[in-house]
Amino acid sequence: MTKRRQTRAPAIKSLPAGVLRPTCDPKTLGFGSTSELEPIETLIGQDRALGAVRFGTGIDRPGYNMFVLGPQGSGRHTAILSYLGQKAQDAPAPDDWVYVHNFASQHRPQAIRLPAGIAAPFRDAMAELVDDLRNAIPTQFQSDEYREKRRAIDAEFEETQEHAFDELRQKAEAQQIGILRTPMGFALAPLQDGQVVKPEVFNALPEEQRSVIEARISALQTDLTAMLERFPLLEKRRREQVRKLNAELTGMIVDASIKSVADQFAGIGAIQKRLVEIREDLVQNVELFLPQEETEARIALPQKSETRSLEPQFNRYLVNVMITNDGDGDKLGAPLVCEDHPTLSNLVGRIEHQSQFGALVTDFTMIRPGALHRANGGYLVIDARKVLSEMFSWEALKRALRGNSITIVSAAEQLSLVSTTSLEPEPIPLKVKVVLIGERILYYLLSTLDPDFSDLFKVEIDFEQELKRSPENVALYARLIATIAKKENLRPLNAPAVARLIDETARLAEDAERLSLRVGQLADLLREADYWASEKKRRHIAIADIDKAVEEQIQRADRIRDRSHETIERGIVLIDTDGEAVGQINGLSVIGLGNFSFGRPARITARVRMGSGKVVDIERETKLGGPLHSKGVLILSSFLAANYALDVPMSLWASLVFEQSYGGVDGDSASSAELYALLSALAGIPLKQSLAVTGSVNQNGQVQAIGGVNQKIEGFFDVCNAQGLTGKQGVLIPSANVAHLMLRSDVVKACAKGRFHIYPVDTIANGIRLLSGLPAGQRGSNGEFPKGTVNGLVEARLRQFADTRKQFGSELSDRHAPGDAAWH
Amino acid sequence: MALNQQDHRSCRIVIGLKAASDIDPPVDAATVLASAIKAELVGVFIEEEAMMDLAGLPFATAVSFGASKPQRLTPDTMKQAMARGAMMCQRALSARATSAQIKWSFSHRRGSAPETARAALNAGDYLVLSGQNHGFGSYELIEELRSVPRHSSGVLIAARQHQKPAKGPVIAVDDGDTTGAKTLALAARIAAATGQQLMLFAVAGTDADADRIVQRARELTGPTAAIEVHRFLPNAPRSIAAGFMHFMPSFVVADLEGEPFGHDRTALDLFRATKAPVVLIRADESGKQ
Repeated sequence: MTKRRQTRAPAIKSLPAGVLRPTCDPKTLGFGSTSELEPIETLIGQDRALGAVRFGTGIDRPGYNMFVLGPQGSGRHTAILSYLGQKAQDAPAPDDWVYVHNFASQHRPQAIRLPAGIAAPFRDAMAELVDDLRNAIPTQFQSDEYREKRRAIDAEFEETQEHAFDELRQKAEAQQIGILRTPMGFALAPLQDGQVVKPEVFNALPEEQRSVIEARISALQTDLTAMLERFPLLEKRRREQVRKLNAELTGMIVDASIKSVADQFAGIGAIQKRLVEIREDLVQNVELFLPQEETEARIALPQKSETRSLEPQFNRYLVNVMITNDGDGDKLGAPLVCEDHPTLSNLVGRIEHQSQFGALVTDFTMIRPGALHRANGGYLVIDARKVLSEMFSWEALKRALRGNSITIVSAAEQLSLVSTTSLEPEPIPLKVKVVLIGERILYYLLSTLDPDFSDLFKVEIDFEQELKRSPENVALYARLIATIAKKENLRPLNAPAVARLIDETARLAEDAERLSLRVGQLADLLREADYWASEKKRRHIAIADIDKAVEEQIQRADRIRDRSHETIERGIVLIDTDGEAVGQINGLSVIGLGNFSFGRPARITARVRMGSGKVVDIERETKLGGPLHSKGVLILSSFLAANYALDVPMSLWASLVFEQSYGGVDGDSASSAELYALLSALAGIPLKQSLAVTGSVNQNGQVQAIGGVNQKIEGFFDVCNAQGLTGKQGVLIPSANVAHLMLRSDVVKACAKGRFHIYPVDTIANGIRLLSGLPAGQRGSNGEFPKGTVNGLVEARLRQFADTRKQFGSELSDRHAPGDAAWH
Repeated sequence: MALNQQDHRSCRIVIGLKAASDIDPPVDAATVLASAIKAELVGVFIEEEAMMDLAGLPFATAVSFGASKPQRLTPDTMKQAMARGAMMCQRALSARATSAQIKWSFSHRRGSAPETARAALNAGDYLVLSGQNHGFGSYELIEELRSVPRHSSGVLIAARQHQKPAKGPVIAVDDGDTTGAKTLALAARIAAATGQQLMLFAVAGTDADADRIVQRARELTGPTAAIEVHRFLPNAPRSIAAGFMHFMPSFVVADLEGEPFGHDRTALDLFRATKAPVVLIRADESGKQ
């Protein structure tokens, strides 16, 4: 009965050529050339992402910043910038921002918000005001009227001083006492004939006379001290009088100049307030505008030359424009800023310093805006990887978004590397939509590891990588191709070329039922095809140009593949494509090199013997196998344990190895091949070396889908082709991968001629039958596998191991006296 | 006589420096003058005997501006102050002279300040006096000014610190006599060296006298020289003082004994009005220039 069921099991047939490469029929496209097609403005197949963008830009709430996920070349940048560009253009221009000197606290420059387009005129007006005052104030201060008043103040002061000194001098001289100027101050000394009395002469005087002199000097000294104490007060009063005089004059000059600025910006409260502050400061600091000689002590020596072009003393009245949104007559809209180099300073701005006499100095005019300033009121687009890799940038960005303000800090300050005069500019309120663009892995990592991320980037914009290959989407795809050709100024494509290109994008998607949405790769292919068309002097890009472009791309990248295949052809790497062998099978791997990947067969071998139930993964033991590969080996171990000799202990020791593999193995796509090799070794039945196998296996013996199926098939085909196609060669693939087949034309042709075969396999039972020619066998009603089947042979071998182990164990225990250490 | 015939090769500028005096104003002014006439700077630091005598008195104290307590003076503190002062004077002189590429020397002498400085003068030298012209300093200044030996070329009165304008015309005051011509020649040199405007204050009673002064000035400076001329009447020092205040000169050159600095009170008023260094040239005894 078992035998009958086995014979009834249908033999697996190789796939027909038609399913190996579903092609697009140019006739179904409905046009002759892409020049006939309307360009497409929106992205195709990205409805989810575009909906998210619309939502993200529309919602005006904190934290609704966007993260665009998707692979490189998926058109993320272009799509986002195009959409945001339009959105920004329709939005109102945000306010301007300037920094000005803070008269109350000069290390904290003041930020002022101004209506859009006002910052630059205000800056110019203030510069003009300073220039006007630089001329007007000195002129007025040189007027006869001012000089006379000033001279009167000085004269009064000097006369008061002179009079006091003269009075004291006369009083002292009348008592034969002189006033002397010493390095330590003024001193009093007795005089004789106009000369200071020498100490020895003084000491020789009678005590009474000395006492009189000392008493006189003491009294005079009291007067002198009182007089000298009064001088600073007199000087202070003089300065106050001068300051008051200056303030009166300055007030008149400044009021006239400021009025014109105030009139120019009438109705702008911030400017009016600022002008009031400036007036007060100007009146108090008019000396800044007076010629240098009034305040400078040093005389100009002949060889000296001084430059006064910078004149930093006037900076306090100037305006540093951080952001101005002056459309110059055109409608400006909101800003859209792409920061390609998001260092901390490029992001939040920086404070520059100047070296003066070896010291670094700065003021508010040296504050420079960052991308956040430029994007304030609009959109800021940043590459996520770049902002994460720049020191302090990510934290600064989050801080700005959390606090809704831009605070300028430098990396050096954060690291305490500098201790120089710096500023703490007043933070500028921030309202911006930040759009981060990055790979999916970054998004998921940030979501997991950064607790702030989810609060600050609530909108996920996930770009599709593929598009379903429906007739409607193929038509849209053709328009996308036409759009790229037009935008890139390329030759139009004829319909066969478009069809060929669509086939190629399905191959890029590694799925016959999908089209790749990696627009970057598509555009590259189009540009290169256009080049080859130009070489052939064609007016249209033809199918041959697409083929040439694909071929050349591969040709440029496949040096390693050639060398790899060559080693197989020369017998350096041992791969059999004919004959049979026990415990040996051809597995298939994919090697990725940059944008190019290729399939490569690898010999997998299995060895078995009696043991304690362990399957040794040699790749794992040598640390050449990755975790996924180890997982596959453990699954097949479990499959063995759960399917064979259930009533006896597993007494198998087996080893599995990828022969001549030196670069590491990962993934579980070879687990079915490893299981076939193991079954072959256990059953002692040979496997056909003309076949190669790919597919992972689960504990129930079902063969599961894997990636890179096309490259793997082509890799084995190339090796077989080089060694000579026999018509028996082929590849066992998981049935679930049939939909992914987009094989090369030469492979398809060989299959069509019966020179090569692709077998879809669902289960290990089906696969082993193909490989060994023997049925797998199913357990009968007696609980045993039929004899002569693979499963029957495997089970018999495992029982034999168990019996041998049992017998070996009892013999060993007999030889040991009680109390000896047990053998394990 | 033309400007290029002026010969000051043997001339020296002698600066009498004291520990108690301002250093920068006299050294700066002397450096300008020395640069203009290619003269050597001679710094004489005077350790005043009067100071040492004072410090030896048992009750000697000193009071400085704004100080609440007098400071006790002893011979030791005075010696230290003298040494410190000498070092500062030498340093200041060295810096200015080196920068202006002028030959210089520095020496210490002990004695009475005016006499010692005067004793250092050779024939044709200029003596630099510090113009600490407020309070009783003014009287000292005039006294020292009048005591300058006749064999000297003249006196440079350095302006008071914090008052000297760095820029402004160089004014020559010419009353028409022979010394007046020398003032213009020297002022022209200083103006050329400092890059300032040359201005002539012609002190003349009549138009003819004024024309003669101007004509002589043109001959001295050459036909293309830019010279601004202002006329003043003799015995009108207030007008000249007003002129100084108006034009704010960077340097003034005048006759030590002629109009208008020949009178003590007038000289003091003019010093106050100019606030600039003033070179007062002594008339040549032989009358030869």
